[in-house]
Amino acid sequence: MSTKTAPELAELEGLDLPARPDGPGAAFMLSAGIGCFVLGLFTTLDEASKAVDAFLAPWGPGGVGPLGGKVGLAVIAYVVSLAVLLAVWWKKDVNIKTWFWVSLVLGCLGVLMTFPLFFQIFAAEQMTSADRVYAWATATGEGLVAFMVTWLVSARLMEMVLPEPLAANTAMAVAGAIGALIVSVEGLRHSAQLRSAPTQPSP
Amino acid sequence: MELNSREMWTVIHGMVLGVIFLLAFSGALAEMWSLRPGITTAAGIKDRMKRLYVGFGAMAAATWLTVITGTYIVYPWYRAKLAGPQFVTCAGLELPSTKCSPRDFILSNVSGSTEGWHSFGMEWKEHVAWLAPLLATSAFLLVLYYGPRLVARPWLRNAVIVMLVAAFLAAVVAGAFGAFINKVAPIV
Repeated sequence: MSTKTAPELAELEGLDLPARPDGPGAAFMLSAGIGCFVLGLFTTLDEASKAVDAFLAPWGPGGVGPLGGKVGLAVIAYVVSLAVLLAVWWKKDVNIKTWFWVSLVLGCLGVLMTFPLFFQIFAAEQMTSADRVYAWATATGEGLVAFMVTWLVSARLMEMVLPEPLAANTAMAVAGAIGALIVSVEGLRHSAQLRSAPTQPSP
Repeated sequence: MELNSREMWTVIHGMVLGVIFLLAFSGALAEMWSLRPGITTAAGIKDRMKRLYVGFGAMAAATWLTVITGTYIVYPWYRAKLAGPQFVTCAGLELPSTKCSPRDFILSNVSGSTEGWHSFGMEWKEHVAWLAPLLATSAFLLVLYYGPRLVARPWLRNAVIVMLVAAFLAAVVAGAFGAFINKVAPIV
């Protein structure tokens, strides 16, 4: 484990450093990823839904608008997740590399969802709620099919080249990534199609 | 030579805290980058750790103060809706006024095609800036927790550098758009 490496260096021997578990380190990383993700999520939801906008607006002092709610929730998510993760992992030695990559993915999703060209795709005035539900429900179905097919195929392939349980975990990770990608791409594609389609007159 | 209170807060938000942030980032990155085995002695590492704690701590504090002053003091002056939906009171102006806020002025396009500074620049800046304090605080806590043990763990040291640089990039995007927007439509 990583905690064994510290005393191996000559210059650290004189510092009398007791080994420390990686749980708290992973908690610091993951809480930052969660905070970034929550900020991005509420930025996009605020754009997509007038109900969310009305919920977020009263959070901050006057003049700030829904930004106060978005950043308030992100900071609360950061602080609460940090407290919970520290309580759970304080004396545990977890795989910090895995949690770093999870945090990085959450952080990247957070950045994507705070990017105007992305979140403005979901602007509430451009699509009806029914259209949005149709677009994303269809995309979710397509993503689930892609996930299952990829999982079946990659599990067989991984078994040939990787030991267990790494093969199963890798197959699941690949399938999850492909499924998420399909949901995102197809959701955006269906949304774009619906926005460009001529509006049907009411009967 | 005089600054009104709004200009003073804009200077504190963008320049004073921005300079502290940049100085702290430069120092923290240089110290972190050179925190490698075989370069210094045990006494040297102890001395270097003190600078790392101060650099990371100052950077985290500066990012929090920057986003708090920006969001809760300066931003309401920027986004005040003074000119109405058609921006009537912005007509003929060359700069924002007490009847045409910077947001109104930019969206009215009275001084050229300026709308994008709000719909893209400000929309990105006001959100992405808040990633910086979360990342900088976690990077600071990692340095505080592991301390000199980071010397022996190059992968972990690189992970901290990634978080530090990500916080810096978020702040750079926010800072750059802030400077440009304040140039196009200063807060008065």
